[in-house]
Amino acid sequence: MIPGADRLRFDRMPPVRVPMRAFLAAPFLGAAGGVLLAGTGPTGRFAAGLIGALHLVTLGFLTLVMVGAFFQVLPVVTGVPVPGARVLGPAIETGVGLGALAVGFGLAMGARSLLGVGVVVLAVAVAGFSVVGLVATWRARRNPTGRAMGLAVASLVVVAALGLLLLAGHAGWVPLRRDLTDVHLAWALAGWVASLVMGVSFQVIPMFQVTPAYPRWAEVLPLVVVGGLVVWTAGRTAGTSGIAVVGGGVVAVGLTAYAVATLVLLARRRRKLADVTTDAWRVSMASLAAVGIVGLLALGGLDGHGGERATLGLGVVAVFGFAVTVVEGMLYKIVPFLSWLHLQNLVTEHGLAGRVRIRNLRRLLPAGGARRQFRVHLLALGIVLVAAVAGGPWVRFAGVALAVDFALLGWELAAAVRRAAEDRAVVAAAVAGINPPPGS
Amino acid sequence: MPAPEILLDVSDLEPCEPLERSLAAAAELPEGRYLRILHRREPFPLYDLLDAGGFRHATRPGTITPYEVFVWRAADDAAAAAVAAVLGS
Repeated sequence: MIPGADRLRFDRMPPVRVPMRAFLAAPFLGAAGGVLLAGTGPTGRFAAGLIGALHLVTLGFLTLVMVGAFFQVLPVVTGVPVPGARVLGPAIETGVGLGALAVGFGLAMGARSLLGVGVVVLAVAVAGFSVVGLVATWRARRNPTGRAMGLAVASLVVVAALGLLLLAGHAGWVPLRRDLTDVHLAWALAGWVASLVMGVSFQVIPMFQVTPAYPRWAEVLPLVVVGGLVVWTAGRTAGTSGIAVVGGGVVAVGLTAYAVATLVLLARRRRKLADVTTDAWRVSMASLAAVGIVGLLALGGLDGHGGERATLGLGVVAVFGFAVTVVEGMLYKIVPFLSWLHLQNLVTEHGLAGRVRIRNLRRLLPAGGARRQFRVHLLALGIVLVAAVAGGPWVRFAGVALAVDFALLGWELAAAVRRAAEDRAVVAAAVAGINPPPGS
Repeated sequence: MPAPEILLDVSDLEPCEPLERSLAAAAELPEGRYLRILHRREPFPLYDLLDAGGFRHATRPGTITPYEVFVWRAADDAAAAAVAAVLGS
């Protein structure tokens, strides 16, 4: 069993605004990606509108949430704070958010100056995050979550380096190396996203989904996946297909094993109550297992004709089915939990325990709204998949569906934070009642 | 006279329900009685809230669940003696 943290160090948390502003802004950047897709209606894997929209989702939504979660989760689980989180956290998040907007729209519209600004802003933000992230995860290397997060940040460095090279190509500064696109994509999804999701899940699945702990062997899966990526990349770069197949196989087996281990744990929940986050984990892990198995079949030459449509479809399952679904699901737990924890700390700090009532998690973010949004997300996922395979007008339709999906998520999360603000006002009034201002 | 122990099993609940139910049960503790909370994790955030609320607490490894937390009112000598008898045994 992977042990839970001996003690969750809530006292090491950064100010709640550090992760929260990223969590609240990210869905609207994802929605902007949907609007871009609907507006441009791109056709073909390398269409400018598609690449721009995809980067608004992967950078503006996924990476922004993951950076915010990194600042929050690493100190709580490992006790190791991220250096400069209080100041650097908001600066890095702002850079990632604005950089994603500039890069996304710059790519889609062929606006080279906007793209250039985006590249610089994003490069500075990701470089800053990589430095503090690698320092912090090195200090937290004794913890399985710390190690997985370290591998995720190291993968992000590779993703960013390749991404900057590709963006420089799009900006016309260097020749565009299309052959690096798949390497960039693989390190982004299997390295950066999957390693971070694995590391976080080792703690949050047993804690929030009330399951047994992950088996001990799962602890090595992030290393297996990233190690496989290194071998696969080396094989591709050297033009040695045998080595690339072995490396790719290791990645696919590692991801599939993780997905299956998680699905087994979820089947062993101690209370089988309906829960949106649990459903999101199930859809996400089923998608990841599908990507792993299809990837294995493709490596073995059993995938039939393949081609661009099949690649796009697999990409949709990986990005939206696996990554976006799990991040949306986790936001439904972490945003109300952080809001509640912050309120509870305020109540305790001012000696108001038992005298002031604050909302619990279920009242901060009622299940009905989350369930409605999750259904919209599943519908959007289906439409995007059809668009990837069928193309044509479905692409614009998929953009609208994604915009609605992300906007609804943002609305639900903002509503939870608004309710928490109402409770904070009640606590503040109680504090003022205990300590009335002089002369009153 | 009722048994001094009130048993509360929160081991199957997800955060933040264990903490909320523990605090609610502690607030309703009658004179002379204590709470034995069955938990799957050691509830560190609960300790600060109990201290602030005028309670005492003690934790030991459990037999049914990984942790058992005993909670009683700071001014309740009878409950404190009952907990001491259990923990001493």
